[in-house]
Amino acid sequence: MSLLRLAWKNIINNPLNLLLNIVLFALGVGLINFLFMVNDQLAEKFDNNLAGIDMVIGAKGSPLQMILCNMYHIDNPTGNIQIGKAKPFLNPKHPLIKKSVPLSIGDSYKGYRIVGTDYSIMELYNAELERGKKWSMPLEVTIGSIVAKKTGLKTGDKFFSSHGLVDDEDLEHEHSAFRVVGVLKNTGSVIDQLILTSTKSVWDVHNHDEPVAETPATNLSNAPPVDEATPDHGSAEHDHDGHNHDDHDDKNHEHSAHENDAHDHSTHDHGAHDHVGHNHANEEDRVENINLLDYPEEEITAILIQFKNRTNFQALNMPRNINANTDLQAASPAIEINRLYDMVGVGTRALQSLAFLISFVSALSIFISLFSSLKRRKYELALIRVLGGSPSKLFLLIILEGIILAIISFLVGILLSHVAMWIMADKMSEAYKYSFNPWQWDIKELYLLVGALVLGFVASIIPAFRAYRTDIHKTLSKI
Amino acid sequence: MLQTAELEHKYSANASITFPNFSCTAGETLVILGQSGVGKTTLLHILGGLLKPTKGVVFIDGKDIYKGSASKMDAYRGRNIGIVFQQAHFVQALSVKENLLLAQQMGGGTDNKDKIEELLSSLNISHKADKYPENLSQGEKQRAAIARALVNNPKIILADEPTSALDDNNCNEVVQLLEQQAKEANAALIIVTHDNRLTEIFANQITLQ
Repeated sequence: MSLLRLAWKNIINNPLNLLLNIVLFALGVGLINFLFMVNDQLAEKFDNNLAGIDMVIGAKGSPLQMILCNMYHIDNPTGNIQIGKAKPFLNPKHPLIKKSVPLSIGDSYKGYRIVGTDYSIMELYNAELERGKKWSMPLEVTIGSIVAKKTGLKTGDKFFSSHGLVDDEDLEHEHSAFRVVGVLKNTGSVIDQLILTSTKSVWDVHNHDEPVAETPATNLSNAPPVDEATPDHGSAEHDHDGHNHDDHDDKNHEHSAHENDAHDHSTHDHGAHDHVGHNHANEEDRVENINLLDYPEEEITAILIQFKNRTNFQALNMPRNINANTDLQAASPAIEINRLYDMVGVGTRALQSLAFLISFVSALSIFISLFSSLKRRKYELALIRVLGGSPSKLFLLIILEGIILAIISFLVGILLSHVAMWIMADKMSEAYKYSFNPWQWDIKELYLLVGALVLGFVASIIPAFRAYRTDIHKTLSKI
Repeated sequence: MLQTAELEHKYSANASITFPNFSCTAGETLVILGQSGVGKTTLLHILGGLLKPTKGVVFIDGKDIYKGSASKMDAYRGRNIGIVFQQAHFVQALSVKENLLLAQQMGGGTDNKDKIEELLSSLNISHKADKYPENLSQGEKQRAAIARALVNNPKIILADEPTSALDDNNCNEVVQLLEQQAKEANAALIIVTHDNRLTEIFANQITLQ
């Protein structure tokens, strides 16, 4: 019958007290750890998704909303901007800008956003292909790993997007089916939950929706001016000598291809002659061949910008200048996210205070229950002395009881926090498509263990000292 | 085996109590009689190494037990002195058997379950070994307490009013068991009591005034 076993037996001898102590202590530990986890994982997500972006340019509105929408994809766009007005920032020759990534947001599939952009977004998030290829033609998409996992989309699959960012079948764009041509590797960043396509695809889908867009003529308005497109077309025609292209009007062909996408795209693909013709006709729509600057009237949602040198004075002043002098809005992600932390921080701090208060109360509860148990057990303690136990053994016995309580409570609390996280992760991923890992263990939990042990020790030290001071003679004489 | 010399205990500055010198050899039984308030329990605590006397010496095996450190005293007591109290105290969270194991552990020995089995069966309570103290009758509790006092093969067994809470039948039985067990262990048995029933059983008596 070792001291440890005796301490354990003493603890479980009073199950109701044990329950109260554990529930209180575990609540404290659990809440603290839960807050740690949420904070850490949110911060990790936010940091991962910063992706070296120094500035976001979009339509006027709430800068935080613009950042949340375009970098974290958890809020709605502030509006669209005309390419013509944002021209300098899309110009690769801009002296301060290293990289600018255009984004067109507005449609989604099963809650996952379809983002019209260019290949530079992949460099931004260090994304690589897992299977297939990058989108290159209109209506071709490359999907993030989470999209692939959750929607079950595979290379070659087709789907209709729905208008807006919520999953709503009534708002489907039924005439333009997207086709998955590639799947990205998991990056742990927001790109995992995006459906990437060319900016042009987004425009095309939307222009189809407008009633006038049903005629080939209006569709042409999306295309570059004919004089620019003609040389391309001519050279392409040369490449495919022997085919009967002269009968085709390029633009008409393109349009009919789109219209047919939903219905008999596969037949279209497999017809030997048509297949070649199709590719050929769209050659100028290849992502590589599109320069957004050629479409000054079209709109995009935002531009993500990386500076060449982020400490450059002019670069630092750029957001202010844009906000003051243009119809556009510029915001720095770091500043906006810090603002968000500050706002959320009030709630987190309140919860944290509550957690520490609960922990303090639980320490008090352990103290009180140990202290009152001494009264009940004074003969037992004297008896242990009679049996040869030294005062320090009694001290150790009470400390052990406090510490065992702390360890059990710690374990229950940690389990509680992970289960809570697991439940929340499910809800979060439904609401925001953000995935949290509820079973991610952290070094902080070790610190919490140390904290719990200290708390258990502190709560039991006064009772332990009292036990140490047990006067055998006086105790046993009072019968 | 046990011998006292000029024992005196001061309750306060001007209230003290002195005890006569006496001795008790191994295998022998000594009954110390006295009315309530004459200091019987105090004497027993002094003999048992629980209370250091203000004056005088307790010798066990010719050695002054209060010489040396408190922790040595604790260890010595656990190993060599078995005490049976008027009210049998147990650790409530432990079964009878576990209480005895605790006594072995605290006495500095190793677990010896055979010894426990043997003691419990010779005291006729082996069927209560796994019961908790609160489920035992007074007589059973006292027998379990005797078993605990004997579990480390002590040199001295001290009993403080072991029979006062018992009826005549149980009284006789408990006293016989105590004596018999002490003899078997070759221990000196000292019973402190005001129970006159015991004066008829034991010849070797002293009376405190």
